[in-house]
Amino acid sequence: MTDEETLLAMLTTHGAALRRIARVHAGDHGEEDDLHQEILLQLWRGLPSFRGDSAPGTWLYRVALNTALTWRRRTTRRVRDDAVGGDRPAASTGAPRSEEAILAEFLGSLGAADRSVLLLHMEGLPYPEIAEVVGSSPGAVGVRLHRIKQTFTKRYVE
Amino acid sequence: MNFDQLGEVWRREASGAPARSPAEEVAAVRARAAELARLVRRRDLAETVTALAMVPVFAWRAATAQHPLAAVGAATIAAACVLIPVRLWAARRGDPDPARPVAAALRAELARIRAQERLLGSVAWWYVGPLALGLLLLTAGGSGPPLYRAAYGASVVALSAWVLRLNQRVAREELRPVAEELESWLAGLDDPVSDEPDETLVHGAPHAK
Repeated sequence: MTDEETLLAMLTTHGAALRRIARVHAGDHGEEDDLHQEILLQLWRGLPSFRGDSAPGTWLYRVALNTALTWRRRTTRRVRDDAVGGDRPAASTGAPRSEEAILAEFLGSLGAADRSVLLLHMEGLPYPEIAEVVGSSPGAVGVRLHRIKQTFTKRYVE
Repeated sequence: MNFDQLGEVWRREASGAPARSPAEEVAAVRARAAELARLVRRRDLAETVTALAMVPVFAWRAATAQHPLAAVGAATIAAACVLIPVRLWAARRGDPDPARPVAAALRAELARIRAQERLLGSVAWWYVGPLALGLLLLTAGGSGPPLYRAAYGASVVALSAWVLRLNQRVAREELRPVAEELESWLAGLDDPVSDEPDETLVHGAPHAK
């Protein structure tokens, strides 16, 4: 299988997930497409080193998250300087908010580690695969998700 | 909405038809990768050729200089013209594996930022210093009027000091905060119990304790 065919197969299976990861890390700065392109570029560049040691999905999520975190780190200072605060949760006005808005607010309030783990969990990855992507243990992933769940419940459900 | 419904809400996003098909995405990224590689090659070549083109010029000056100080100065600049591109090439060498686990990638990024900090912190030794020293010696051993040589020497010192300060400022104001930010992210990944919300990414969120 050529690199092109491999990337095509990955995009066919995980294309929507990559879009979602780009969207949440780009925030409201209108850079979703740029970040998505950057992720695809890093996937393409990394393909020659993909030897199948890990599942294609694990490999793809690692590249996507590493690229997104680097992107976010680079844009953080600029965003701060511009005082845009794209990740700032909307001020609570008492008006009902959509589920998507609540999720976006919650993701924006999490640290990089929690956010990465939660994204992978929401994509449906099992604990061992999440652990493989982030470089942790399945037990630590479980503990982290439990804490995230507690935080969410305390903030939005109770 | 409860926590277990988050996945469903999440996967609902971007569920519409994408603007481009996967095949179109692959073709576009392939073209962009080729274009970027071409740009990087062109930049590296321009830097190297410019620096190396100076070597025979200053080597010839060193060989034909009337004054020993001028000879040493020209030889120093010729050596610097080799040292600088080699140092830059060494610093850029090694494309990191983009598919490392997130924690390992963050650690590698931190190491890279620290190395850049060290590189900028040491420009006096491998960039500004040799060039300034060479120019000063060349001027001191030159044949122009003393006043002209003194003014030229002062300009070289002032310019070198400015470049030095500029590099130190970038290291202090740009790279150090990035390194600190990466360290806090890593602390969150390494220790699931003490993970703190990312203050750099959220302003005024109702943090859970």
